[in-house]
Amino acid sequence: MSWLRTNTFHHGQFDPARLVEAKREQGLSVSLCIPTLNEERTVGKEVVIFIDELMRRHQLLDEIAVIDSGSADRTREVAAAFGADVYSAADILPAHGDNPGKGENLWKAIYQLRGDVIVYVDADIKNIHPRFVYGLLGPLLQDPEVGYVKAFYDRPLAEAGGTRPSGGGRVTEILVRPLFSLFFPELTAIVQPLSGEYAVRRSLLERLPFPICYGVETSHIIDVYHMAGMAAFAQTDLDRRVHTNQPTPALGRMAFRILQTFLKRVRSLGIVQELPDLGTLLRQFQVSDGRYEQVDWQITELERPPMIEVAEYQTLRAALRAAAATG
Amino acid sequence: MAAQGGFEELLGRVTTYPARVEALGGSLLTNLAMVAEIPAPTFHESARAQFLRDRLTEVGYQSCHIDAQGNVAALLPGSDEGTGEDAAPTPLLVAHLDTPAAGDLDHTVSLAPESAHGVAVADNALGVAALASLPAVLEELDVQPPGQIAVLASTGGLGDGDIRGLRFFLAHTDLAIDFGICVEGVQLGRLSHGSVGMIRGAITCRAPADEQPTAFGSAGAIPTLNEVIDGILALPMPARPKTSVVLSQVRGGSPSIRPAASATVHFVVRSEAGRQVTSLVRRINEIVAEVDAASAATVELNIVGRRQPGGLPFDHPLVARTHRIMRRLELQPHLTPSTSELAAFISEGVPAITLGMSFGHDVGTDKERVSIDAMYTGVAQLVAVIEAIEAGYCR
Repeated sequence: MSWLRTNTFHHGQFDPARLVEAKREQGLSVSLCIPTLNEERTVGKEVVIFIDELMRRHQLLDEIAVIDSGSADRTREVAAAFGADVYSAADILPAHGDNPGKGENLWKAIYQLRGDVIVYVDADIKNIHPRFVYGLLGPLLQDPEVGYVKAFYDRPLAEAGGTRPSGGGRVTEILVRPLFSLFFPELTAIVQPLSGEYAVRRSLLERLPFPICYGVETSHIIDVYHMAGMAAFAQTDLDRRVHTNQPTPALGRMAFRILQTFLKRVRSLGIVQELPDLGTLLRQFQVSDGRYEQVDWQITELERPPMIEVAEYQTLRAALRAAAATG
Repeated sequence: MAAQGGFEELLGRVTTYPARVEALGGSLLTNLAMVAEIPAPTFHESARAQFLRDRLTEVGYQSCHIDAQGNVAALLPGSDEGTGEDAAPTPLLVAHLDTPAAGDLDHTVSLAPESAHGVAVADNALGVAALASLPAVLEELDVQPPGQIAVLASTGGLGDGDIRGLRFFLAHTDLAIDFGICVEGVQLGRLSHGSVGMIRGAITCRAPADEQPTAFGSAGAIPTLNEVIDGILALPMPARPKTSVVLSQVRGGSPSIRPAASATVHFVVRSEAGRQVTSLVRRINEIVAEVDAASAATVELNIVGRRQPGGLPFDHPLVARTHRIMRRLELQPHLTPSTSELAAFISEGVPAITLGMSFGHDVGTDKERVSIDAMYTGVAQLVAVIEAIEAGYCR
């Protein structure tokens, strides 16, 4: 319980101006990564607000980048028009191929972005506010032991005809929290382990493997816990986060990927000795013309290796260190 | 009286303002998005007011507070305010805080390179955002007004609110307000310097209490209300002075088999002449009394808002200078009368105008949007008018 008391914050505890001072004192640089796929409706507002508030008014961010998975809408055009650096995930580390999925974008961001700290913020937030960034940077900038800060919220889901004042986190409550309770009880202190907003020190981030899709947050929590223990985590209450609700079948597919990631880890950590080879087929049902139809989904949660093991990254970082040393 | 040459110098540099405002366009868009995403239907503005009070403090305003009427008021100190007869004039910039949109709509704002979309972005989140962005804009333009600038995001600016927020502020403030500028999101090019006379009211019909609602032949309140509406629409309207009656909303009943127990029509009578407004409302009252007497239903008229006509002549320096500033910015000024906050200034004898900040499209619908490029010209014109006032060119 002491971790919950000492490492849980509210964004109101942090003043962006003071965080800028702390960042300067520590000689840190901070990059913001917004992973996107068809987010033209919300990405422009995120970019404008973060640039205006956290680069112009308060020099808290050194870089704002959109890493796009091949949007078919105007996402890249809109983000670039408002001043973000826009990259196509497929163009980053091209020799390593390109996989569809948010985790892939987050992994490639480690190579592309320059910050000592990377903040990840999803692009689908409807009530975006600078607190989504400075609230996550606060614990990192005031405690050198903290390396990974997760967001949590009261998350109303936007629905037809209005918003619902409570709910959200269904996969967390139905799947992840019961699994953590069974296998990693300490991790249940993290209120929303699947939240898409977090700030991480590069020194930690580059050592983490990356599932390419929805398993990425679950794997991070388990891997950071295994590497550095609870003291490396903090969490910040960012109040409300309004986003579009996902239909239940999509949540089912998300849960399937998370379960693949989770079982892989309990096996590799030796927590469960014997597991059969896991299948990759998820069956769901839909009704068409009054008849039930089975829909088969082949789902495999691929994983990227820790970035520090990638040769191009080692070369790049060495070059950057050399350039910094020569001024 | 300030020299004419000074005003010409102001006109000379104002053409550079839009591009320079654009350079920090993010500030305006940031404020627009954050303000517009907080619902603020009339009488329910408190969440937006609290956000704005904090925001105005953050961006450099002083004495930011929420008054007893829920208005957000703040001051931007001048660089050389002076005293007595040498005191620089104090303008009050007003943007109504409330919106005509229901609070349970999705208020998400979406930004595209050419426009900002969202519920009530034009009416009047953009006006409020312009106030919040003013300190940054003045700094960017290196404009240091000598006198203080008072700003007010007013509550109850629409409909039944009857501009109560601004009326309250003007009645209770200790500030000596020399000029008023009403800041509306749209339309850019608008230059209102007069207010038409207006009376806003509601007529409610109630079916007799002893009517059996499910009996065949039971008519309910709607046919009776229809008689009233027919009577109003048959009233002759004079071409001069310009006069109109607008039926703005009809409500009553429910989608069931029952006749409506009550039904209400809201109306607005407007005219360039106050006596025409009074005369028409008297005629509407007679129609109401006639239908009430002839039917079993009860019919009542309730007046919810009044404006007296008035305003500044075109040759008033505030209007004339503003007109020249707009022309210099290649705007075509539309001299349209107003029924909004301007009327409160007129009632208090404060010279005032209304300006629009951008071009709006599909205003009042779920596709409401405002042009981004035009905003920079809108804010540029606002700054130039403030400069003209503060320099004494509008006395």
